[in-house]
Amino acid sequence: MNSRGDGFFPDEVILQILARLPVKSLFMCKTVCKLWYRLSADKYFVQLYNDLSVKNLMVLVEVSEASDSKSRLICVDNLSGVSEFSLDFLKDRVKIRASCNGLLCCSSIPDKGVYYVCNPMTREFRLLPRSRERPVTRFYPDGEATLVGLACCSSSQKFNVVLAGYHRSFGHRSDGTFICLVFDSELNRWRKFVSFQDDHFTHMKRNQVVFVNGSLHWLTGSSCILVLDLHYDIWRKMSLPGEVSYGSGNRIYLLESDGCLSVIQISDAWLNIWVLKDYEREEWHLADRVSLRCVRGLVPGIFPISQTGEYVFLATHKQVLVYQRKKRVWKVMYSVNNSSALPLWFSAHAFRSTIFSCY
Amino acid sequence: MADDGVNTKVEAVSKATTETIELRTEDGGVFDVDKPVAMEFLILKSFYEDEGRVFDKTSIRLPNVKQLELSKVIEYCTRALEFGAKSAAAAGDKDAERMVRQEREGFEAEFVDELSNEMLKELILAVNFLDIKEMLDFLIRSVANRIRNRSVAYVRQFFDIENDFTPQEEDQIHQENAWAFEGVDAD
Repeated sequence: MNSRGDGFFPDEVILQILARLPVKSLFMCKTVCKLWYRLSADKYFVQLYNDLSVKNLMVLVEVSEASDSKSRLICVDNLSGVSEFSLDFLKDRVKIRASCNGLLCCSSIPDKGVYYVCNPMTREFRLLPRSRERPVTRFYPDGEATLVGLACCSSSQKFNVVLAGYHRSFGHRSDGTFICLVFDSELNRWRKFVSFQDDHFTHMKRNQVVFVNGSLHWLTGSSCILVLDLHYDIWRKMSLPGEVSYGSGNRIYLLESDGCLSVIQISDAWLNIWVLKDYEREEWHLADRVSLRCVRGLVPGIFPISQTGEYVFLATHKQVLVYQRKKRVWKVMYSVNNSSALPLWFSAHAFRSTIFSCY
Repeated sequence: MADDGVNTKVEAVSKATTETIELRTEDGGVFDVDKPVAMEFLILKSFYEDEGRVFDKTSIRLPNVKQLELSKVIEYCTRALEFGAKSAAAAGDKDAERMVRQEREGFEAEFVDELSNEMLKELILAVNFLDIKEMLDFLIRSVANRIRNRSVAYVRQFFDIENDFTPQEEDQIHQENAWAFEGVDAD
């Protein structure tokens, strides 16, 4: 030991250094000494690490080659480019259903109704208990939930998984009820609640679910956002910005932007970014107008996947692009060389690297 | 040394165009620092801007800072203020903003490249003591970059830390997170 006694640096400085390491290096540094092992597990540190990770957003894409039925995962990161990604540690073939604050909710492909929540960076995972008592048979054929949402609260470090869909008796039409199953990570249990059918439920856009302010938000096909408040298990509606509307070639997407709800509207010449600055008063603010002139050829098939105040990740059939807002520069981050079976945007998810725990 | 902390002799300062503050380091260094630069050191700023108290000392002793570190700190903070001013002047002009940003990035890269590991560590301690947030963040990021993906042995040697785990304990943690130890850069 040196003359300074406890160590060269005060604990706070060590925490700040550790908070800037990639997850792999951080976990390796746990074996440096007992102090570092303790500091890296500290709840304050976990929050610090996760808060810093917000700035580096990534995109996870499932790439399936046309030649074989296997697909692989890649991770696109603004700072370090493209890397292979694997969920092999789950020891199951899975499909990613939702992503939130560094956790993924995946469903088993061979085993219907089996869900995992995992942190692919730390390789922790949790097999969720079955959501229904009876096994899936042809007499209870809801099948897989229509909608899957994952809500990870960074301050409490608890999470919820929401499975929602229509209840149908075998052979009959929907009986007018919309069922939600909510998994509580703290109680390790599912709870169920039922809402009456609302036309908007039929038009919810599956992949665009955003967790902010303790609620899950889904975009619908009409001019509203459906909000599931997880404290009270209540659905409510929220309006889109007044100037945003479907029709005449406008496409609308719901994303997160630095912890706020955001709507991206794409027309043939412009990409408009709206951010909900005041959640309580539902005040939208036009944060940016991006000209699509230089990517004109891609516009029909361009989809925003994730964003921060500094950049936006988008995907087309074959490419993942990033738009840097301050520099006003477009860059291709990844391209598939041969034709892949599915367009890339189809299974692309926003992602960030955190040390959020699933336990 | 018989010094008791802050130098109580108030020196008569001839009013130059920029007001300066004299900073004395623990190893006898004396620096005349422009006041705006010195005010970046929050530890000093809090003395000068304390309400209801006029702090008229123009010479201050910094007990935990050595002259080599202070000269580096002054260099960085002076340039940082210059870049801030240039950035403000370029506001609205995308090309000019980009040029300032690139110039700053170039300066910072060169600044940190010239620092040995020892010097980087000493600077962090000095800047932590002087409470200069932006520079501390910059130096911490630089240390993180130097140790990322390096072996545990390297990290221990870098921070001068002794391993206080028993071989069995270390082995167990290693097993729990075996994936983290793959593909590490060679020392």
